[in-house]
Amino acid sequence: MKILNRILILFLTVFLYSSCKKEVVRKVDFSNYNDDDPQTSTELDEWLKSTFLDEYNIDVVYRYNRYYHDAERNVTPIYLDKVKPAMTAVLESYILPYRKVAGETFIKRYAPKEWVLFGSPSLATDGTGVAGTAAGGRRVTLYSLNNQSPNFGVLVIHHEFTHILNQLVAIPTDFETISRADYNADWAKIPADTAKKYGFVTSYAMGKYTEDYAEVAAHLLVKGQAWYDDYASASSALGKTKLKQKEANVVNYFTTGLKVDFRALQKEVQEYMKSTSTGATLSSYLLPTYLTGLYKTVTINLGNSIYNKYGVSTKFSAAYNALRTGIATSNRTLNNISIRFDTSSQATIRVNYTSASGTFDADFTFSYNFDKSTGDLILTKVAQAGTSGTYGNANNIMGSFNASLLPYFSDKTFSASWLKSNVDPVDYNNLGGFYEKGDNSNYWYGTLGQTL
Amino acid sequence: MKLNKFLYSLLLLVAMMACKNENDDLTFGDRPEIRMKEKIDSISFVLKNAENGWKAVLGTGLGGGYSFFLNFNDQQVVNMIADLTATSATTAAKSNYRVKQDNGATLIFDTFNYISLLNDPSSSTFNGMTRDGYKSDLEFAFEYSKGDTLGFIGKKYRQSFLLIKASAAEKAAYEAGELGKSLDNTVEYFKANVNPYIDVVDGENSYKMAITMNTLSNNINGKRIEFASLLADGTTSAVKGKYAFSLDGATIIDGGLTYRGITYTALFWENSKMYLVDQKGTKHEVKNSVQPILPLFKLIGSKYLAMRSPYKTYYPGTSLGGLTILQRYHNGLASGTGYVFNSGYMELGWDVINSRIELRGFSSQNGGTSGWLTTIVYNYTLDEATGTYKCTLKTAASGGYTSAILDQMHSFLLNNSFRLDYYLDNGILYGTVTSVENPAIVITLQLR
Repeated sequence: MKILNRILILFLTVFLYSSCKKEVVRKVDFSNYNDDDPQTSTELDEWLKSTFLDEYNIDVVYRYNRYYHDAERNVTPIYLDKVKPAMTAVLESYILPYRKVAGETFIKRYAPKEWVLFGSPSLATDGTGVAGTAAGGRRVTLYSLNNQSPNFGVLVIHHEFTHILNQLVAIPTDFETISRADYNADWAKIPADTAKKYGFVTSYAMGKYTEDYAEVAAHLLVKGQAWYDDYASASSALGKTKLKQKEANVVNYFTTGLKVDFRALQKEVQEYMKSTSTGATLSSYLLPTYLTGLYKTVTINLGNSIYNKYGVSTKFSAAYNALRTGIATSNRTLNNISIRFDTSSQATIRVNYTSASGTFDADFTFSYNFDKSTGDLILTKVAQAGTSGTYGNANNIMGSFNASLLPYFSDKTFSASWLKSNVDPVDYNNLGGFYEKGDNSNYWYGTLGQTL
Repeated sequence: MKLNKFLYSLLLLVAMMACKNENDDLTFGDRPEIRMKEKIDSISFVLKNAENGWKAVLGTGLGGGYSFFLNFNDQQVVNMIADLTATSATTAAKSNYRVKQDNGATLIFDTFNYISLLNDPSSSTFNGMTRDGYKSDLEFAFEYSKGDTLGFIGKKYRQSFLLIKASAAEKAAYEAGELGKSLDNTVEYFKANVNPYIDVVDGENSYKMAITMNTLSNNINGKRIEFASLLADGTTSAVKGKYAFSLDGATIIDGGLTYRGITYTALFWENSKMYLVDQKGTKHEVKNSVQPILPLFKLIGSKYLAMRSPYKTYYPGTSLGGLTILQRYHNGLASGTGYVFNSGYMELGWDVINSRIELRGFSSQNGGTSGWLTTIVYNYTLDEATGTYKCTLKTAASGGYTSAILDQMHSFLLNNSFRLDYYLDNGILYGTVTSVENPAIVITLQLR
């Protein structure tokens, strides 16, 4: 009996223990708990679904959710009718260029999967705001879309995506050494001009080499090569060297590290920016803004393969060949000609040729009128600026020149623009075209040079 | 054996208790997800099934009150009319809303609409404070429902947002742009009638109660209503509240504004007259007085904090003697201090609690954007019967660079007793300072 009792008491203890246990796990059915997945099926929602969700597995969050921004800040939602323009910009400025250049799999795999849109900026206590942020390679948040152009975030998108790419292939170690001494965590206090002088694209780039890297890549892609070179030229000598080193590093990283043709990508993004910009922004993508300032020379050698690729106008090749055959009679071989913008009003047409005694330049002096807003260029022959040296050489071929190029360039207005042709990425932003006003079939173009 | 029986029965009891169904002792009757879903569904249902929509009033943390007309549909779309701008009061704008669980049921306006303007952190959007806007929310937690009213409260700034079912007539009026007309009328009324007041009879005691309306919508000091009057003992008192425009005038938010025992709730139009109505439903006709109801010396320090002479601006009513004093300062900014200034002002500031007047001279070298302030502090005595001030020096000039050119004003204040009066010119109300000993010295200043 005693044993039975003991067993019973033992059981009792176990039961008592288990019945007094207070922890009760209840099953909560979250499908009934309003898990906050705002779903409407408007035309906009369908478009977002078919364009982003189905194609790229990208979710676009345009309806306000406090948990997607800094909780202590006020950030307002986006206007309904700004959603499509904003996401069209994302698609065309970023996704499609990468898709075309890097491939479908690449962009589908690496594109951030959640895009959050807000209408107002997200302002820090010092009043500064950012155009966008990216988190963990998964979410991109774009701000200020109510008042800014849909392209407001393009720079940020490319900046953030560069960070993501940097996680796939690390930033080359030699990049950090370019500006190592100048990084400064307190970047916000550094004026833009100081950052420029030190060889940074923005003050923000001075914060850390990773940010510097993303800024260089984003600016090269979005603002363009001409803008970048122009910016570098306005820096200090050392700053310019560093900016160009950084560019080379980034281009090499994309092309060899990621196997993404950076120049091709640059062209795609530039084409989008050009086609969607207006006013001063558009001008910043056009040749006239940079001609005579950044670009000081245009060099033409019809023997170059580019003229096989992109053609040549009959009138120009006639004049060029007339010069070539003209000087050939005195055993001179024409190498190239270049139009050189020496000062704000004086230009030189330089003929480079090879004779038995060597290679020489012959300079012909012109004055010019250039309108940066329309791109209109008028060249007028004036008295030669000298008599010896290159001008002496000019005297030797003056007859041929006067019978060929002089009449070709005189009394005409040419409009400057990038070569109007679907050029290869390697030639993109490298070829300046000049089209006769009123006769588009007559044009000349050549390689742009930045030094006299 | 007895012990065994006892143990067996105890064992049985314990075993039964351990097997009890877990649903039996739910404190609130149902599982949380069921209760939450019911609540969300019922709020959504009520919102979108109000056939004439909702009229709503919302206070803001920094600014005044705002009114809305809202129509929710079953596609998570809300159409909104609001008293923020001329456009918003007449044109409905479409955006999204949703009701979700977030520490209780929450109504969220989740794409941009008029209500978002009050939250916007850019001052350029609706002239709110940078970062804070008007301290108004986009998310409103459900609080209660009572009759035709749904009570919500702003999640961050804790301002109440009351939705009341609109009638068919109200819906038609909102859609016909009547809110815009009412807004214009009310603004016009207070522009045309600069010193509105009502006569209050309170037992044997009757008094005039002055009303001040700030009708600016896109201003954090706007949408305010203030009551003030002269008390029996000769002192004054004032209260300030917030209001929003309504279809027939204005509604004072947060249940009205109480002054001297009466709670006033709304302003409304009837037969082209403006009335102030109190909680009991009594209507008080709003009349206009040519002069403010309270003498200036009663309002200085409360309604007006200072009187200022802006840079080289001389207002009508200033006498020759007064002009000399003002010009001494303004002309001296360029050459009288040893420095060269190109802007500045002179100001008298009142500290009623401590019976002090501050004479302030501000000077600037960048057109007034920034600069330096010189301050001289006086103690004053005020003869309440005549409104005469007499100053004695408390603290000599300190700070800034203008003490040399404040000399004439300084000596005026010490050597004269003076009175304050109103001066009305072209619909703009100024204040004058007039010397008692030498009435030829009159200085007209901006009331601030």
